[in-house]
Amino acid sequence: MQETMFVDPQRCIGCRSCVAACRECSTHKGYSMIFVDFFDRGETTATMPTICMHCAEPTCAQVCPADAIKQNEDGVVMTALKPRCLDCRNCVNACPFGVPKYNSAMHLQMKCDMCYDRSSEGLKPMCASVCPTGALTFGKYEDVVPLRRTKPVNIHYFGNQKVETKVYLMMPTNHTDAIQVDGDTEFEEHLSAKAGDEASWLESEMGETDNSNEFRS
Amino acid sequence: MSKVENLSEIIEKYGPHLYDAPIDGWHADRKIDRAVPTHCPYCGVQCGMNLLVSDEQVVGFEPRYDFPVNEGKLCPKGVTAYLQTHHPDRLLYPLVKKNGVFERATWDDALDLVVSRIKEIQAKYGKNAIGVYSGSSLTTEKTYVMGKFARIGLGTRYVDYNGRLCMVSAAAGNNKAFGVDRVANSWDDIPLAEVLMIAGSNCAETFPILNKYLWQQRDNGGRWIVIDPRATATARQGDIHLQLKPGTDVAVANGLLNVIIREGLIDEEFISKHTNDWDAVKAVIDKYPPSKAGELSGIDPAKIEKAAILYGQARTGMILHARGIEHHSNGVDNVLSYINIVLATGKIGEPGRGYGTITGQGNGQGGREHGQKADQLPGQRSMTNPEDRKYMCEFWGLPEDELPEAGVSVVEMYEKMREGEIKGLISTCNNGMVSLPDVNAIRQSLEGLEFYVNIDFFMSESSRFADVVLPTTTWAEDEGVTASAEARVVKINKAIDPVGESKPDWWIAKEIARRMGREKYFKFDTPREIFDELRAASKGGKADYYGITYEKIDAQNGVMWPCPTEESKGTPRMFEDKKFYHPDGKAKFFAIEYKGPAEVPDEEYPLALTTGRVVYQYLSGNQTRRIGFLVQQCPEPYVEIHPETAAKMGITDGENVKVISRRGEGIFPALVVKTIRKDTIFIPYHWGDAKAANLLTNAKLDPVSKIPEFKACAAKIEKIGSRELPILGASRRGSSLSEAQRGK
Amino acid sequence: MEARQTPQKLNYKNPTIIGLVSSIVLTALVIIGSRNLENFDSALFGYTIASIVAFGAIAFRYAVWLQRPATRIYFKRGLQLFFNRKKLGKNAKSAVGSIATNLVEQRFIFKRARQRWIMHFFIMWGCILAAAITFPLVFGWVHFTLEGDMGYRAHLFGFPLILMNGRSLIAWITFHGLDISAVMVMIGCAIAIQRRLNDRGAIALQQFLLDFVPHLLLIAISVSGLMLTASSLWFQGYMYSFISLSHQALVVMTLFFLPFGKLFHIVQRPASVGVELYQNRSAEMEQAVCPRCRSSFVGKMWMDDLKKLVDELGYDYRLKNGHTLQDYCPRCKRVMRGLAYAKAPDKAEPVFFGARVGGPNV
Repeated sequence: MQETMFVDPQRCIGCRSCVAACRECSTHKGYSMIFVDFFDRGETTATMPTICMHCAEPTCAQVCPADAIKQNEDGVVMTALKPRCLDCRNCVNACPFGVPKYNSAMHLQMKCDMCYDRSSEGLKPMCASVCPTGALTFGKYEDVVPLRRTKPVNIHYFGNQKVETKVYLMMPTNHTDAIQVDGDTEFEEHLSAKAGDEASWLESEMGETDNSNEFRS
Repeated sequence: MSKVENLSEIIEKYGPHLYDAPIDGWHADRKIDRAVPTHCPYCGVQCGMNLLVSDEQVVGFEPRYDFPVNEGKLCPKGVTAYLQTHHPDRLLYPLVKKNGVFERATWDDALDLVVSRIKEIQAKYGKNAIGVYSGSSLTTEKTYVMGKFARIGLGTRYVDYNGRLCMVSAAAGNNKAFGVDRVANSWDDIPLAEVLMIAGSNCAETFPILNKYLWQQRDNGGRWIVIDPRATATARQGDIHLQLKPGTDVAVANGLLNVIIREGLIDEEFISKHTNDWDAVKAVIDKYPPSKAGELSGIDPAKIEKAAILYGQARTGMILHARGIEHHSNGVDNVLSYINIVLATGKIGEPGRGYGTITGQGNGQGGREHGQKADQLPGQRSMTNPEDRKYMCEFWGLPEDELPEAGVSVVEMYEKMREGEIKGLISTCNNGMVSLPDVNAIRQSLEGLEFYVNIDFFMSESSRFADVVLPTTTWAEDEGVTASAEARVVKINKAIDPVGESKPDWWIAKEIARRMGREKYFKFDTPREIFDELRAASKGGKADYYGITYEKIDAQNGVMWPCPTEESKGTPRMFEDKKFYHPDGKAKFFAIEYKGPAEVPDEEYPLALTTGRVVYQYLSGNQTRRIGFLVQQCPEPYVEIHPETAAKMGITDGENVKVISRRGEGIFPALVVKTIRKDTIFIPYHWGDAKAANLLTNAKLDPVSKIPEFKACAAKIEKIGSRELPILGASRRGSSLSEAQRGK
Repeated sequence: MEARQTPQKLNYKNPTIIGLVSSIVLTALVIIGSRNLENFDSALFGYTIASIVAFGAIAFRYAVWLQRPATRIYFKRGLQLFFNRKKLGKNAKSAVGSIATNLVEQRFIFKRARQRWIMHFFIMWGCILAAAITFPLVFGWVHFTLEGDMGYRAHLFGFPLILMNGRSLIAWITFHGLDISAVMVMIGCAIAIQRRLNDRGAIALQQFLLDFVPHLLLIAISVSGLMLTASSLWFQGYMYSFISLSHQALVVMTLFFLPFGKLFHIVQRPASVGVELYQNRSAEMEQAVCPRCRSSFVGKMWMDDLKKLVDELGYDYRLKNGHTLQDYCPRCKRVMRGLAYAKAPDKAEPVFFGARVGGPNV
């Protein structure tokens, strides 16, 4: 089987090492394509690492007016082709995972391409190389899964929409073959004093991009 | 003398400025000349990494997959570490303060000035009027030189190092119980343990790569018991979280042991054969049933029982602890009370059964082994033991009467500066103005000095006070060994020549000693020559490095001491023969009564303040507060408050509040989180000036280890009604960057 | 990388008609512009045919492209916004601004990398210069006549224009325009190829057909073009016809390559002017607010168009609460997925509340 990524949010310690290391890859040198978001810092230190899940039928590619987003033979969804990308940001907002970033000054969308410069040479992507806990792991299904007590799932349902991905999410339960995302729930007992308020400042003030995924500076 | 004038000018010139790219920007078309295998300059895990060198400049890193400890993994500090070497803030030539302004000087002029002032002060006030304050992020070679430099080069008794703020409580506790100061197991034992008890360590943030082993243990079906006042990332991922009041560790440990004894989970054979003084411990432990322990520590007694049974019943188990229990005025007691649990259950000296402190600094272990500690000589020999003194004097060819007495700990040294006994200070590899407790008092100490030499590669909050600042090298520009937190001696390799006119610390010490007329004791020109001298010096000592060579380190990916002979491969696991380092070969129990922290919350100061770290900053932040990425993730300190406590005072998330203790006050934004106890607040300590958490902390010392009580003091919070969000500001929220710019 | 095209129902009838009509119109223009082929140089017949075919092919490709639902929505909405009567003036002004910064100055390429900008500057202006000279000549729209000893008169569509001295600088530049453009293109392509051989990111992603062939073709055209000049100036026309034939073959190949590979961006890129207009207008209008974090993160018109588009493409991202997934800002989408993960059904133990034994913390 091909090598792919396995994302296990439970193991994430929120160190953002992946975010820093992502900038070292040659295909997007200096720009990080990974997100590590607090679930709700008021409640817990838990964080959600998000990389491109590399959909089998990527919504981002379909909504691109310039036909700039391509999949390679291995099913890796590549960054927008530089000569084509018109900076329309359709992909940024259509992606069900909130992954593509954009840089308006450069008229360019950028997204995770699984460190194509490294993975095409047999090296692990930077994020999975540095991740301390293995929350991001790169490898073959048969090498990674037997070592874990979590269940790999690569089907998401967003409302009614089924999205199949190349990347696996490691579920802490055996009872499901898909993850269902529906509704804008809050973290279990969201701080009552803050209900309806904005997220903790720590959540919104940090990171390379803002809410709309545009690169800061 | 040593006052900081023109502060804004100094900051403008020497930073901290944010810098976030390789030397000539991010681009992927550099020709990489070589990849130099080395280690991260930061914490005690000493992760392996390759530095990429292009055109004699460090331009990036590549994971070092073949180094067994981290297998390529790095934390965000490690990932961005290489950005230090060519940082625009680097000090590139010696600086001498004239009329309050730093001016460029030649090495000769600066060193001549240093030597003439030292001579002047020593002639006037005696040899001991000069103090040397060193650090543990130096290579072991440098730490060896710094101790020798102070005692032989300058002839002063006052030398100490910043490990005093790190793990000396563990060192003292280990020495008392086991007769040796070393982590008992290598980390390879962690995945073999059924249960891990992690006391006072948020290793998810402070030793991120250690979590590789923790999760391997978990994948093997292991369980974690985490003892911490905050629901940290480590505690969140654990199984049982004992969320104790800061400073009540002895109560918790005694309560755990009480349950273990009650349930008959002790190893009586081990106790009778290999330990002393069990009966005294048993008598004291009887006084701490879980109900009592729970009452003292604020933990549900049922949880203490569960944890004790989980650890007690497990066939294998390890106890790991860190600064959380060590940074206390009863830090050694805390350590010993956990060692009691280890010894009572006999979980030591076997695969998956063990114990260890997680040393903080990169060379925290090595830095305390070879004679820069106030009370120690190389090889963990004692300054007060006549035999050890004789051995070292003979080794060095030094007349015995020229070797000064043992010195005092660093906090006491700073007291002596205020009292006027120490008039001059040479410091390297530390930043007391951030890391020492009660910063206001530290400032007085520095301001009272007649002469202050600071050695660093960035202008730290402390360097600003100096009369002479000497530029040293970063880790990438020199070679040498460090000993990681598992006592693995690893080799830092030189990637490039020193940047600018900077020189390695050992060269600076040697040059000063030479000009002091002590040349014959400092006859080395390379780190390898120093290492050969120090491994011979350590021969026969507890920390025996004699059999370690640079070549063996390379061949074996590190060597764990003791390694007494050239044939020895080192000692990954201690006490496998159940022989301890006390003369009778037995380990020692210590009966510990609960005393509590020196300052407990009262009506006036109702909250317990504890301090700690964040993953993005390293120690005093002199290195990391200049790296754009790290600062962006955590730009400034904040105070964690429980929502119920905040609600009582009408404090909302993101609001600036004033935190006051008996020693000082500071203004910090509130981070209202449920992950902290209601009676406790937390501030990360990596910042200086008005943002220093150590303005508030208590300088009360542990009577044995002399570690200050960073982790518990009484404080109160005042609402000041100001709401300024950190750096980016509320106006940015929601709008994209281009829109925000267009708006301007 | 083109291996997996996203499946779409394409209609080729209209694009074929548009392509044919375009070719016919160009043919007509050639005939009219050259005064019934009176000024047409029959030696350039091959070039003319290739140009006409390539032009039709580009029009065909453009029409196919416009069939992409995403493109169509942007195209329609862009025109609609532009021709808004109240804002026509303002729109024209901002379009001129966009053309200046995006198409002429190409600031966005400068932001990507300075070296890239220099490279693109040379290739683009070299090609534009060459095209501006050759196409009118090939189509017979411009020709020169000799007047007197050294006087050359240029004619446009058969109408006489200025007379210039054949020895003047301006005449030298005019007659060597193609040589200058060839040198420019070669410099640009050399920079591009140099980058493609050294930049590890480019090395990983590039494909020979897509990324090298266009540069090699441009260099080959430039070299053969310069050889023609050299042959006639210094070598008394040595091998002239062979070189000329090669040159012609290369140009024809490149023209036929236009609609397919990398070079299609030449006709595609101007659309960024429309996109920018769309974005700017949308930013001025009512903003869509993320239902979860209440931040306004995109224009409402754009969000509505996008949701319509996603729906049209056959996706169904509607959620139980009545919102569509795209209503949420990217960050909230990520957090919502995390929360769904934390709430996975029947999980063995609480994942994010620390204490797994004994419930939530004290």
